[in-house]
Amino acid sequence: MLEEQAKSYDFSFMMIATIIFFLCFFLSSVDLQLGMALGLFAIFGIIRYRTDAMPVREMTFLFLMIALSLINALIPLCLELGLVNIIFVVMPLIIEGTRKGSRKEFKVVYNNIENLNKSNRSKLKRELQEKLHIKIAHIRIDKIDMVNNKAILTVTID
Amino acid sequence: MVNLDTGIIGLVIHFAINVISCALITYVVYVRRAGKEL
Repeated sequence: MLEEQAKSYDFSFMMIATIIFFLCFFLSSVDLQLGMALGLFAIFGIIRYRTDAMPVREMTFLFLMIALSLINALIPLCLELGLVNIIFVVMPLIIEGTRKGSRKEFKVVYNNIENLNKSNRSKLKRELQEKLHIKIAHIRIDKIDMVNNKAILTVTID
Repeated sequence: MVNLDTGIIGLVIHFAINVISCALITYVVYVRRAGKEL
C-alpha cells in the first residue's frame, strides 16, 4: 500500500482512539452499562466502516486502537497499564519488522520481444529498471504477441 | 462529570498515555511500514 493511502487511515485511527477513550472514560462514571454503550457505538460507528471495503490489516489496526483506548480509559493508573501499553506498541512493531515486505506486481506491455530470450533476460531486467526507476525482483512472461511484436510481462518488485 | 477516582489530572495522564501509544502505533508502525512497501 502507498504511503498516501496509509495516511488516509491515520486520521481515522487517531480520532477513533480519542473518541473511544472519552466515551469509555466518561461513561464509566455514569450509571449506564458500558456494554450497552459500546453496542450502540458498534451499531452506529464500526458497521458503517464496512460499507467501504477496508483491508484486513487496517481493520486489525483499528481494533488495536479501540482495545488500547478502552484499556487506557477504564483501568486505573498502575504498572500493568504501562506494561499493556508497551506490549500493544512493541507487538505490532516486532511483527511488522520481521514480516518480509509484501511484493507488488504489475503488468507491462513490452514491445521488444528479442529481449525475452533467456540469454537476454539480464538486459531486459536492466532496461525495465532504468525506464521505471524501480528495483525488479522477478519478471514473468504472460503472453507473447508475435504478430504485433509485443509481450505482456508481469513485473514483481520488492 | 470527571471520574472521581482519577480526577482531572488522572484524565490528562490517561489521555496522554493513550495518545502517545496510539500515535506510536499509527505513525511508527503503520504509516512507516506502508511507506516502505512501495
